[in-house]
Amino acid sequence: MEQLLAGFTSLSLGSIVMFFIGFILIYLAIKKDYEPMLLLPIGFGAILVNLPLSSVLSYEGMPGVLQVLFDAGIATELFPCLIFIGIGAMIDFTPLFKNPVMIFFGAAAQFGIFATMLVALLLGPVFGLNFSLAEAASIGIIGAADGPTSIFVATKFAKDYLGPITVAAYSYMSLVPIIQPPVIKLLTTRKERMIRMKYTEAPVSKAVKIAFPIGVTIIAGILAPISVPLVGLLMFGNLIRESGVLERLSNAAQNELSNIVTILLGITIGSTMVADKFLRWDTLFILALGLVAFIFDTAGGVLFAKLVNLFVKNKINPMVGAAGISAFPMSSRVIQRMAKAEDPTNFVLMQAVSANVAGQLGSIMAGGLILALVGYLIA
Amino acid sequence: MFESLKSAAPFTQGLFVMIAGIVVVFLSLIAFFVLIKVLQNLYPNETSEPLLRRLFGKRN
Repeated sequence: MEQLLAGFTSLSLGSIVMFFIGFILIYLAIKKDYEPMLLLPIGFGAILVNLPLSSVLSYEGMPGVLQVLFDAGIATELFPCLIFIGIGAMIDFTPLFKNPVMIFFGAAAQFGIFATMLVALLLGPVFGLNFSLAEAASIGIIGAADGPTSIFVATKFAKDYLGPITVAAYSYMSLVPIIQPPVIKLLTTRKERMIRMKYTEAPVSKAVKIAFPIGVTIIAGILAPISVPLVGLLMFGNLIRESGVLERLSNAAQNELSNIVTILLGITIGSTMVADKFLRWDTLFILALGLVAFIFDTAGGVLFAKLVNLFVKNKINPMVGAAGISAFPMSSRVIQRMAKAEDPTNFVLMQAVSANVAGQLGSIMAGGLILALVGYLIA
Repeated sequence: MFESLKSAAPFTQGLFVMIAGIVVVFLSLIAFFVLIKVLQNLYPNETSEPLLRRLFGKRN
């Protein structure tokens, strides 16, 4: 009888709260369509792992199924890297080749990563949280607006915060249409938002598309060797896509590989959301800082565009700068919608998409540099 | 060169990471920009075939 009731008697308030958080994530995924591919498995994983006497993490002294997945796929950083092959196979860099100058917005909009790291270091002690540099950097990386990069960095530097960092990264990515417009409006005038940009439809040769991923891998590998697993596999996926001779593999990377790893990644991340580790003051703080990161990213991109406008004849619509974050394609859609709201005949989508694609490169480079620089300082 | 930073306060270290990080992200993207420009000049409007043929020879 005691054994039958063991589940009930072991139920804690923390577990019930975590069930509720799991339900919220599943609700957001299903009802609001917020990154459902990740938030649903994460939400369900959070429920699984908080069931009383749950055997998904350990069973009779042996690692449970989710622990095995964690050790094999997250601790080794295998899952984020495999996801990058799929993402690489999905990315079309053509808009960037047509507007190469937009690549710089992919750098400017990474400002949020670094600024948030400083905010975490500065404000943490005020709230009784003394984050180390590595933890602050892992929180800042939420601003990469790139789930796998966030997971990759957090796994290396802040395993305990992996759950909240991943949830924040994916949640805010899906909230880009809500977060970006007020920040952009605050920093721009209506006149600036109505700036029209010239767009020239330049043809892009196949050779450029093939040579680009190889060149980027070599450059990134030399500049930030630690970023090679991220950049290298992203570019490998892109090379498969652009080679034109590996259609089956490209399709497999975009579909089967991405889907399988996404399922495993999501539920495994959910398994890190154990009540004792998740229901803490720092989780709330990390979620708040994630929002700060996205706000700084947007501001960084917009202000950089305004700075560039001081020196160029053909003005850039500063909203395009905000599309330099990695959240693709949400951010570019938001910018086009805002441009259209000010002037229904203004079309900045292609420039925004170019900046958005550049953001994907920028976020990975920033992630790699965080690993290299912070790794050096804490060694 | 930056050895003394290892014993600096976390905020100072963070400031260093921020400045160095932003500079190097920009440098890498400048390098990618140059790469795109060079590639576009090398292969302006051709398909992949001439490049592949040049690299690997024509297949029978």
